[in-house]
Amino acid sequence: MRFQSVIIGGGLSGLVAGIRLAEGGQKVAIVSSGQSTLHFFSGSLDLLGSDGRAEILCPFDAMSSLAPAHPYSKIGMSRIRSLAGEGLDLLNRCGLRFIGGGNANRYHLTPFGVMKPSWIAMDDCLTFDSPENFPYKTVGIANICGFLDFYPQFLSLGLEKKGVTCLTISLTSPQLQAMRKSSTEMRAPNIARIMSAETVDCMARTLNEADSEIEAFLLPAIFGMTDTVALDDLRAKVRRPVFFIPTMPTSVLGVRSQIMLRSCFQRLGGTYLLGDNVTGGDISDGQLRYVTTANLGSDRLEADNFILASGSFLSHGIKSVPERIYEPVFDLDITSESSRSRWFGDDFYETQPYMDFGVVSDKDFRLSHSGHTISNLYGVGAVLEGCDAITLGCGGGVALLTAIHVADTILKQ
Amino acid sequence: MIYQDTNISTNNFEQCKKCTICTVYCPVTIVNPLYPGPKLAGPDGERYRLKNARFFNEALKYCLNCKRCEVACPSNVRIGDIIQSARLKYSKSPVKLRDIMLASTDVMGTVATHMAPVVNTSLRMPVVKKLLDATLAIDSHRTFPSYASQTFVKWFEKEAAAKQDSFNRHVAYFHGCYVNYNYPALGRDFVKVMNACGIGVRLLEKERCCGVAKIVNRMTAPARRDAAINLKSIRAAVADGMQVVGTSSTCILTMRDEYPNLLGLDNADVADCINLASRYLFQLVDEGRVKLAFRPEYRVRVAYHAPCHMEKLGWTIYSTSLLRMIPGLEFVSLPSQCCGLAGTYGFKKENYNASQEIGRQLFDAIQRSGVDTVATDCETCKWQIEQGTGITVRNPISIIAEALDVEKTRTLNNI
Repeated sequence: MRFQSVIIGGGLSGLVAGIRLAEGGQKVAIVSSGQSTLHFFSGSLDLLGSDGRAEILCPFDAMSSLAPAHPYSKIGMSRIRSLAGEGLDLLNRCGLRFIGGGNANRYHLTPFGVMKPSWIAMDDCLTFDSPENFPYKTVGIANICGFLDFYPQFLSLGLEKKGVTCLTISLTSPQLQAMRKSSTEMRAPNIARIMSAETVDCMARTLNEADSEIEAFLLPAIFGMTDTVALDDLRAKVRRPVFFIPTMPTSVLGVRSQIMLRSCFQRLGGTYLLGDNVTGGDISDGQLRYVTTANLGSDRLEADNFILASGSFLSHGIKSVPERIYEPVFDLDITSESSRSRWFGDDFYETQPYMDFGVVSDKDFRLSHSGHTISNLYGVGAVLEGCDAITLGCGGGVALLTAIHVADTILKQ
Repeated sequence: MIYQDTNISTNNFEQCKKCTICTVYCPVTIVNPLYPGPKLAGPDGERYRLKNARFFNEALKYCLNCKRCEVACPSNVRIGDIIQSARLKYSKSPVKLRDIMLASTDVMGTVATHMAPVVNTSLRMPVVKKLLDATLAIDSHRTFPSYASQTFVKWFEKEAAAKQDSFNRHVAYFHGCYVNYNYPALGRDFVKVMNACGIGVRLLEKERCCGVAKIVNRMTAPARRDAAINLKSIRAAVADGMQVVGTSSTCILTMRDEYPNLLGLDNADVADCINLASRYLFQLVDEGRVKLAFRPEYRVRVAYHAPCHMEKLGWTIYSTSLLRMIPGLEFVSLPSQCCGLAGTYGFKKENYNASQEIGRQLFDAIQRSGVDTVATDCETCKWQIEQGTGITVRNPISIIAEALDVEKTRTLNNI
């Protein structure tokens, strides 16, 4: 089967690259080994949250001091700002409704009641310009009876430290009561999947009757897995602002992002092969000729260009055994320390060297095998070397920006 | 020593990272709160069951074996297999007479085709439906597919077998119970298309039911007997240089994957030769070994429904690409979701409501799409969608057969 581009990995970076290429008129296939880590997305996407030592306020200004191996350094500062704007536009074209995107980071509230910087956030979320400047004096934190994946106490402990008064509210409906029969399956996406207009009405009534001191409500993100109908309905019916806190795992905001990006890709004519694994490929004369997959068997996926968007350790894009760290599809060149003792820091909470490991790429994100660059195989997102997304708070941005950058490189050919 | 690569159990439950992505895509959990969901029923529960069999939960019977959890799993955990294996290994509840009857598609088919008019009429009578509902708990809303008065095999032997020798290339056809006893027209369409392409059709030396219904109804011993007979015939066909091709995605998935994974029968030597008709035909065209010509006046608007087992095989792309080859066909995409019937599952009274609830969104999407026909590679999806929407559902091979310009195709393939 022949495509113009084949992408290995169907999460944020793979989908964004696929959408960009398909918008550019290409025939594209994505092979995704199961569903992606986008399912754990909090709804807030970071570009750069820290310089490794402290939180930073202006991601674009701080980027110039990143190490040369960091993907942002490879893209180059002159391109970053417009790329970021295009990334935000792309997400919103797919119906995701992100807000923010200015020069300065804004802050969002984590499920643990901590305030963290992020560049853009889905409009479900509450964002504010500084941790010292929380927009409300009194909030109502509402949970669903029997729902075990949301912790109002954590939230209120965090907020009370900042001088915010928190009142808790319980929500339920006959439909949600019935769900409690299977307490372990009362998960955020399952609640979102059964959410009916009656349940929204029930909740809106309770919220509207809540203490008049409350200026805004914080609810677990259990609305809108495939679209935003229930979410908009609730907000329309409640007379005070309502914001949603992601629950983990699996996050409704993440599942919705995955579903919307995938359907956008498919509407553009893209082929999405879910639950299939690339088993290898033929690299000859410095080019990747084709890849094979477990499900397609002898039918090769041929393409002019290939993109590796397979993620880091969590997504199996990078694997480790006691002897070595490797890239499992093509055994590509990888940056890593050879001695296992240097993979880890002594303190769990310190920066971990292994988080920086990834596939080696040139300035155009072309990958290499045995020291030789493969001219039509590009890497995007977390599989790339040089971005410790946990320490720097740059995972979402790297996925988004490298995907668009590489897609544009391919389209310019 | 790279022990991580060698210490994975056959049921690879320990590869589960507890990410719960599987639960997002389970069609049953949200319609039946008694079902513990794929993560708990599968890898989580397996940990406990290995310690002590009393942790087995009979509610695992509510799993409809769609395997959408496996397709969703980012760690390739065989969640559906873990659940079905646990049912086979630990369930103590006796297999019900009803389940034996529903699962014995070949025995029932043999009897019923002999008196098809009587059987068909009686199975449609409200009083019979009520009786089946009351005595056997087969839901009265369901109508059994009609039985044919002549089986596909009888037709093939009488009308088609002799002609097949005139071809140089051959394919072995696994017709399955549905084509043989209920819907020989699909088998005839397959023979028509293959012959037009210059490929002769052979039947297997001996064909039994693929066994899927017996496996999910815990009739392991008869399932294994049938599987052994099928594998012997498949090996003989492969030795004769033929691929074994079927028109039902579930039969194919069962023979390729469930035989080794659930019945413990090694089929590695022939697994790659077990193919689905729409994939086989696409490959022939794609490799340039066969050419198709279509009737210029043919017009149809078709939506393809991807059966769960087709998604598990990862072969939906073949059927949709094949259909898109027809110039007069307007293709409509549907969201990939379970229809809710899952073979014998939806016929059981205790599952009927869940089954319809699962299918509801799909029915709505089909009705909104304004298509003439729905295409799908699974017969039980066909029954469910036809009951749920009133729109005719056909196998892609039947649509190809209808759109095909037989004479022109024969000429193109030098027949």
